[in-house]
Amino acid sequence: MHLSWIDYAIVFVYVGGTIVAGTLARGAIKGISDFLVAGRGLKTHMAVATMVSTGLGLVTVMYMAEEGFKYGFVPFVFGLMALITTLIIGRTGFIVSRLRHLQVMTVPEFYELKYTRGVRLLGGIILALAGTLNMGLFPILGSKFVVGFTGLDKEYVNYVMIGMLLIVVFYTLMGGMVSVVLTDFAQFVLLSLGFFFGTYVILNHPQLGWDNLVQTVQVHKGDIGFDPIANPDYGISMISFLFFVGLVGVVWQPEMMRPLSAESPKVARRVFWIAAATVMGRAMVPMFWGIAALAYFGNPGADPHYAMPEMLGKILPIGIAGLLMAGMFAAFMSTHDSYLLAWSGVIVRDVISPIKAMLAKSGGEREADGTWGGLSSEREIYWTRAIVVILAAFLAIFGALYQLPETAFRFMYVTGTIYFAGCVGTVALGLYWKKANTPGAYCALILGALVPLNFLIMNENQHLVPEFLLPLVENSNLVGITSLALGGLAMLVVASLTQRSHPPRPLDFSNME
Amino acid sequence: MDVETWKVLWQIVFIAASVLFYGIVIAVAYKAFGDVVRMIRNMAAGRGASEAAADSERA
Repeated sequence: MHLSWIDYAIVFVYVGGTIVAGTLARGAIKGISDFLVAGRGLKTHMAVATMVSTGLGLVTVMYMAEEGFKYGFVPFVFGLMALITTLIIGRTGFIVSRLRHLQVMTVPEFYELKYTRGVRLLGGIILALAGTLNMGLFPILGSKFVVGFTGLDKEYVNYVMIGMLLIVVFYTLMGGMVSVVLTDFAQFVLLSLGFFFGTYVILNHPQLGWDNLVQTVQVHKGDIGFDPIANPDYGISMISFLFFVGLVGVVWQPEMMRPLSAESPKVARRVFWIAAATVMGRAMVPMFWGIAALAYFGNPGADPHYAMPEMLGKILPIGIAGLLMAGMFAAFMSTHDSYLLAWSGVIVRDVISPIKAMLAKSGGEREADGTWGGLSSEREIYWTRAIVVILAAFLAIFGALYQLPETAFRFMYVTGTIYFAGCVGTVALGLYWKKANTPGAYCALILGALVPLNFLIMNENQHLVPEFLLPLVENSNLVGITSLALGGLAMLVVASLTQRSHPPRPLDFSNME
Repeated sequence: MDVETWKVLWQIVFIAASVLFYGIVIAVAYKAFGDVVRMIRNMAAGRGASEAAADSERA
């Protein structure tokens, strides 16, 4: 075991504190908008803290470190692209301001406002599928960090995962978004301290330090460990994909819940403007740790999921190790509770509730309590809690059984693109192009999801794929950029051809802040 | 761009990313602390998040 009793004491104090806070938060939940968007009362700084925390889960640290371990300094380009896209969104309010102005709680809810209930149902199903698959690796990667960091035997990895999931489920069931906001703030502070001390120790370690890391990458990776354009696993296609997906990725429900929880569209925009300054650090610090793990062990064939936490567990002094462990546990909780809440909210509000409303033949108008004529506010909370438990059980099974085909980073992007691609047409064009209509939305959602789903299924069965289609099951960069283009083109072409038969619904943004 | 330039560029970008990250973290943590205290106080009083948000808007 790498840690001392002081380190474990810090972790237990943190976990105990969050359970008390979760229990307290239960009293703040009076309706579905309290549960899903914290009553839309978040002010700028709180919203920034919670948004940064969601984008900086333990899984993010793990897959960013894996990229650094495998590709050297090249993945730093992801941080640069994220900075550029977040600045653009913060400056222009692209998508964010308009969705917040419409007062929706989930993105598919926008589909019912702009298109039809059927589009909302399809969008909800695709979003829930993409989100659940995307989240599939979160628990197991979190557990691998804990096992590697503490020096526990690797055979305990599944038990640790189940234990951590149980704490998260309890906490999320208690207070919904109010609980999420509180853990996010704790994580924001603890993990930032851990980031600072972890990086400081690496930079001053005799075996590590900046120059040693550069030399290690040069020895093991050569020039393509520094040049993203020359690196065949990155290149222009991956850089372009990162840029476009950074712009449209804002519709990812767990990320979007923060601006949607902000007190006004102006605050929602400001949140992105401030958060932009943190996106490079959030990506590059874990990547730097991954490179440090390569330098520390000197073995490019090692399992990167264990190498980084094992290195940190060995080099961090007592107390700092406990602080980082508490920060990472907070990061684990924060991302899981956000995602569990986001996806269960989508499944209930955008799949189950619309089906019930369709069966009841209700009018499809938004009620004062934020429901749409399907389930009541109380039943939505009940079902959201039930789905949180079901999703957690699925994650435990998926995490224990699934074998990763590529790096975790690429798995996340391909699964996310199942949904992002359709959003180019349905959300981006739906908000900014007056001709966007229902047939266009159906085609954008279906065509956008097709290419990444095909990649995930056929990547394992390449012998069944005709030769001219092989690049679409081999190259995840090409899959990403093709899907985004298809999602946008489908809306442009189909909506242009069906304007007379399906006139678009207008949206009013004239009094938007 | 040759590889030596990339090495220098990544070092500068890493320093800039770290300064921006920790700068924002300190500023945001300081300013959001009051919001957290208020939220916990409202929770302890058993008030709903929507009610608390509406009160703070009126104030």
